Amino acid sequence: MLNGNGQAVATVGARAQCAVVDESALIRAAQTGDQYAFEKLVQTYDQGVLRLALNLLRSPEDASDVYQEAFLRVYKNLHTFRFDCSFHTWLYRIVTNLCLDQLRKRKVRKEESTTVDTSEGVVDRMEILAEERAEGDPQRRLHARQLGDRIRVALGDLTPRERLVFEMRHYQGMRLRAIGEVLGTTEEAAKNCLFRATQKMRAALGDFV
Amino acid sequence: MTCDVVCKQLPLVLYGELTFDEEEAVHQHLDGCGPCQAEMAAVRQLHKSADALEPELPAQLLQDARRTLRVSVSALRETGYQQSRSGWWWKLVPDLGSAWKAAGAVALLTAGFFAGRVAPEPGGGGRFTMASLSPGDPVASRVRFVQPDKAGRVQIVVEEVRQRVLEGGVNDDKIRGLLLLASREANDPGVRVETMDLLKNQSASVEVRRALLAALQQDENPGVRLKALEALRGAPPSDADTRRVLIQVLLTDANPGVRNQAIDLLTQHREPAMVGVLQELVSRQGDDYVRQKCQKALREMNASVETF
Repeated sequence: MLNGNGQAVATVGARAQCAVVDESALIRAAQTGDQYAFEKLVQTYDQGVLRLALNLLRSPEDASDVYQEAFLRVYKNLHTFRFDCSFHTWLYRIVTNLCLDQLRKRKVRKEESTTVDTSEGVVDRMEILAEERAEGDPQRRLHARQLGDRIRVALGDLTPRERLVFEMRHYQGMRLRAIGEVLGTTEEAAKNCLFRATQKMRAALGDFV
Repeated sequence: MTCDVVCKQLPLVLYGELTFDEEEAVHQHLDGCGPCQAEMAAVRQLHKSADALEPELPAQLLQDARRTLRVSVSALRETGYQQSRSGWWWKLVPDLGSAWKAAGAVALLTAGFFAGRVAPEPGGGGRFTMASLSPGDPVASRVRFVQPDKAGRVQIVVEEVRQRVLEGGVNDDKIRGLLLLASREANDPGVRVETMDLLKNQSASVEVRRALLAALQQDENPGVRLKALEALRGAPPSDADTRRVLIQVLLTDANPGVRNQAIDLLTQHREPAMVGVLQELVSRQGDDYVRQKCQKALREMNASVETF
């Protein structure tokens, strides 16, 4: 017998199943060359992809390049997608590999700069983005700036994998199990990675938090 | 459970990554351990601070990325790239090899031609190069994708932007469609202002009105927003969407000129349905001019200036 709650659960379950069916249908249509289906597929995931790339690379241009490269690879290789994993996992494997490549190159070149020269001196573009939302209170702005600087330094000192795991868990809200799948590792390894990232950031912030 | 083990699990508690039993054990430990409680507070604060640092995703960046991707995918399709190379249509075109050779030769020539154009300028980033060209030539181009194969052929995707001149009356559907597009997507605010001006006699059209309201709500340039307001003067006074957006502008727009024009527009028709809205604005509005306009309109409508 279905009561009110049971019915609600059944409806939610049915909706989730519908979404999966819809996505599978979209992927199959895109695999046959349906441009509209491909665009719908892109639009389902592209905000998350761009946000991840922007947060990680802290450069709109680099984030945009990762976005282009990732979805072009999806377009060119979609016929090889066999539904062995979720499309989300498959896409994020591509995206995270591209981001890791970029981060590793930067580590080698030691060029982790998001600053630009302006008429008002050197400013950090990501800081501008973050501070655009800050309140007018100068003390809060100062505190936010100092804290932001410390977190930025701490993030910069993480290994590319630690940073990626932190970004995916903290900002993208992905489960550690899914992160493990994306990175081709176990949930336990992703957990350890997240712990190391948190510890390093805690140490870098000291008594600031 | 030791403090070391608990500390390792604190981030996982905050992320909801532990099972019920594991989380319960951590909380039990926390109840009797001051240092771990302090550590938990610090990790929680770290999370909050990191949250505050996340930049908004700029809408323009997403829009540009989508547009560029669309161009790249179209270019791939035009060059004959199909997603499923092992699909049935490849088997239907046995002479594709020679076609590819010809395409490869053309592509190499094209690459050479464009290489000169996209070569980085001294001191420039070389990411995107504008070129001075004769009419009909692309005004901007860049190589987006190069893929060699084992046979020595190469596939190159070049993005091009070409200029076209279209002429027609403002009432022409095609021209109007392009104006609506420009109101959303033109990078130059001057073009957007001009577009608003051209659309001002057409605000009776739902499509145009939507574009004007979108510009009023979203355009970053106050000049464009003012023009949109001016263009909305001809909109039907009873239109609920227009009224809703005007109220929103009054409450949120940072530019006083825009707010002043919005209240002028909102109060130009004395409608009974506006009484509650105006009373609300009187109580919430910090802008003197706007508040006075609301009070004046209410008095003229013989309505109470305040709510009780």
